[in-house]
Formats: sequence, structure tokens, C-alpha cells
Amino acid sequence: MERKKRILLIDDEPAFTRLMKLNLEANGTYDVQVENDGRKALAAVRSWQPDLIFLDVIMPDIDGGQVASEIRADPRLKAIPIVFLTAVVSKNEVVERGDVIGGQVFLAKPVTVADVVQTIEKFAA
Amino acid sequence: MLEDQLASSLKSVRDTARDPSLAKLAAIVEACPEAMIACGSDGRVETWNAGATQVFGLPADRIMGRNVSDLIAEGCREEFARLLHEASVGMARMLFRTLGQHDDGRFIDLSMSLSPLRTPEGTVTGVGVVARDVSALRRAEDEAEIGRQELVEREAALQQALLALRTSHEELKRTQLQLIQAAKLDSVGRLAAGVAHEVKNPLAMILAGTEYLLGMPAGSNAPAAEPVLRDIRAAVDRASAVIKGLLNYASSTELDAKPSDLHAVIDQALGLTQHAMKSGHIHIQKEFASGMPPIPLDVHKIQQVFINLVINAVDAMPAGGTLTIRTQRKQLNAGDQSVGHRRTDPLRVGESVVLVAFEDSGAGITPEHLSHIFDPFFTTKPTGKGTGLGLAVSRTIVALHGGTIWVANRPEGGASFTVVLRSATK
Repeated sequence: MERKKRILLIDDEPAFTRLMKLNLEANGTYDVQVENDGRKALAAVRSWQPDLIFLDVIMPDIDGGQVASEIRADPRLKAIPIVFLTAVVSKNEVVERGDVIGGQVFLAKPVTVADVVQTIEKFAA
Repeated sequence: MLEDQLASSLKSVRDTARDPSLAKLAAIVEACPEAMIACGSDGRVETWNAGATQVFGLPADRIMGRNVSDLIAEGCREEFARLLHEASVGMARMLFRTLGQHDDGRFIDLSMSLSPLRTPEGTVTGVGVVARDVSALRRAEDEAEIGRQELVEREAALQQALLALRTSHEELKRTQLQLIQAAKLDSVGRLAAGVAHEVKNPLAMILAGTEYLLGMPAGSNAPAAEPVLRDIRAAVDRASAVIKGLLNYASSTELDAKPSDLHAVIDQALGLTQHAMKSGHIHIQKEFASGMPPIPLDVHKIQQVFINLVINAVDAMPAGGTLTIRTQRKQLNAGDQSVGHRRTDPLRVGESVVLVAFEDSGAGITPEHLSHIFDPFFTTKPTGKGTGLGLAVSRTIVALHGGTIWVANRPEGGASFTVVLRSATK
């Protein structure tokens, strides 16, 4: 049996990660972990080695940009695809640029489960 | 006939010489500074004392036998002649004012009395004239009248100035409120991006929650849906509170102070600036005093002050840091900034106030900036980031509440802005 894809949701909004995890697990094909704190998230990336990371941008202490640079700086982790899932950009902005802004993949909040699933299927190995 | 008169005069002189009390009386008349003149019924001057010489500048020998009316200024002579005639037929006239003429030509204000002179049998034989030079008094009266007129004019001018002052004060207050509103709309623009973020996050939760519920197979168990519905409900409340906060903040234009919960106002300001703080990696440390009574506040205006101070603190800590917000009740003392003893001082020694201190851990304020920090349009922020109105307007708002803002660099580094508000309306 094929291993379920491991998805790590990093966002400081517990209600959002809780609800998105419910949706993705209901789909049946994903193994989902959530982290609401940037530093703990880095530890989870290292120990769990997810297939794709959804990463919020604005978080207290350590923000999404810093989390992403630390992952990219680690040779064992740098291949993991990262999708910024955030409210700081608008949906139009993301769609106009074909999901990629400054070389990074973006999804704008609020986001449908279908968009999230499509993104996983597009980028997760 | 002539012999009779002579005999009578001689008798009178002898009587006078004999009667020591009459001699004294004559001495008093002579020493009196007022003019004392005796005339015959026809008005001819018969006796003339030293006072009369003093008042009219005429020695006795130049007036004796002339008509007393010659001493009166031309314009008043007719009236005087009438009164003199009345006195000569027995009707006294006491203390009337008339205008005399001095020998040197100048006019003399006179207070005068005319009395009939009678024999012991009651026959009027002449008129006694007593005149006092009241020119100095008249001048003083005139001056007093001029002074009074000037006072009346000045009072009218003062009233007018007061009215103009009131009008310009009203105008100033209106302008201040317009400026406050302009600065507020400026900060609304600044807050809008953060507010959009704060609304999109709950929207993302609502969308994720509803999609999950819609995806649940028909007839599946309701208990699993309950926590999802709770999350959705909380997200709706959160988005609604953010939008309501921004609309309330943007809308109020008049100053409307009511007893309010100071800590709730601080929390609302923190809610609207949450995005700026989170993205700037600013930790908030709240140290609120217990037992804070309701404080007279225009909630939305004071919120504007707190938002300005929070945004400034965030900008002052580009690499992140800690913003400590401390509230305290205090009785002012002489060492406090801008506190005095005078009635006109906005805050006075001994007054009960509450302090709301915003302390950042940034670089502090350079001494040359410290004195300009409340000047309108003064800003150290890059072009487009600040209009330089925030602190100027904040101070105006606090002043409209009868308070002030203290600014200082903290010994441990960073700046501290303290909003001083009255505990009760004055």
C-alpha cells in the first residue's frame, strides 16, 4: 500500500489548522500534522520529514520567511516543497502571478479545500 | 439821611471793636479761602474779603462799588442777575454752580450761595455772596467722566474681543476635530492592511469549517460537527469585532467623554494593531493596575491616541522587541512634567490622575528630536510611512480630555510615552 502523503500545516491560528487537518484527513489520502509555533515547526520538519509544508507568513516570534530560510539552508530538508498559505497577499495577486511570487508558491486565505488538495497534488512528490 | 447811615456804620464799627466775638468772626471771614462778598440790594459790592481776591484775582479797591455780576462770565450773567434779584427780595439760593471770570480772563467754576442780608427787624438790605472756586473739582469730575466713558468703551471693546475669542476658540476646536479626523483617516489607511489580514484569517477558518461540514456524509453523527460549528462561530465573532472596531474608530468626529473602562479601550487598540505587532515581532507586556475606576474618556478618540502610540512603538523597534503597557493611579507632585500650582495649569499638584505608559525597547529618541516630537508634521519615518500628525494630534486629543502626554527616554533603553488622564471630570 502506498504511503500517505505527509502534510505539515504551520500556522499560528489553531482553529484554522484544526479545521484544515479535519478536511485533509477526511480526504483519506493525507497524513496531516499541525504546528502553531514557528520554532516547534522546525523541529517537526526535521523529525517528521513531510512531503509538503503549508506555511503561514505572519507569526509571532519567528515568521514564515525565517522558517522557510532555515529549511532551505538544511541540505536534508531543502527539497521539501513549501507553499505559503497566508492572508497577507490577495487572491488576485496570486492568481495573476500563477501561484508564484518572488520564486515562492503562494495560496491566499481564505482558501477552499479543493485548492489545497490541488496544490498538494501539484507539488508534493 | 447820609448822617444816619454814617452814624449807623460808625456804631457798627464800634460794636465790632467792642465785641470780641464779632472781631473773631471778622477774622474768620478774612482768613476763609472762599470769596465772601456783601452787596447792596442793587448788586454793588460793599465788602470783599481776601478769599474773594484769591478767587477772582481782584484786590478790593478795584471792585468796590462795581456790580457783583461783573464777576460772572458773560453767558451766565443773566441767570445770575435773576438769582441775585431773588435774593435781594428775600429768597436765598444755596450751592448752585455757575461760571465766573478771573481777572486774568480765565473762567472759574464756582459753587455759589446767595443769601439775603437782613436787619434785626427783617428788612433785606443787601445780598451775601459766598463763592468757592471748584475748577479743580470740576476738572476732576470731567476727567472722571472721561474715564468712565473710556471704561464703558473699553468694556464694550472687551466684550467684543471676548466674543471674537469665543468664536475663534470654537473655530479652533472645530479645526482641531477636523485635524484629528484627518489624522485618524490617515491611520485607518495604515490599519486597513492589518485589518484585512485579521478578517481574512477568520474567513479562512469559516471556509475550512463549512467545507468540512458540507463534506460530511448525510446522517453522520452530529457530535463531530459541534466543535467545528463552535470554531466557525468564534471566527465570525472575531471578524465582526475587527470590522466593527475599525468602523467605530473611523466614524466618530465629536468629542464625547463618558466614564469608561480604560483597560478595555487599551485592549481594543491592541486588537486593531495586532497585525502590525505580530508582523513586527513585538511582544506585548501588559501591567494593568487593579481596581481602576471608570475614567471620563471619548473612547474612540483615546483609542486613536493608543493606536498612534502602539504604531510608533512598533516602528521604533524594526528588529522586534517588547512593548510594555502599564497603567497606574497617581497623585501628581511638583516634580512631574507640566504640572504646576497655578489655577491656569492644566494639571495641578495633588490632582488624582491615571497614567498609561507605553514603553518600547527600541533605540530611544535623540535629544534634538525630543523637543520637536509633538510638532505637527515632524516625522523621522521614511516618506510615505508617516505624516507627522500622529503625536501632535494625540497630544491635542489628550489635552481636550484635560490631560497631557509625557515623553522620556528610559534609562534601560527605549522610549516611554505616558498618557496622563484625569481620574474625574474637572
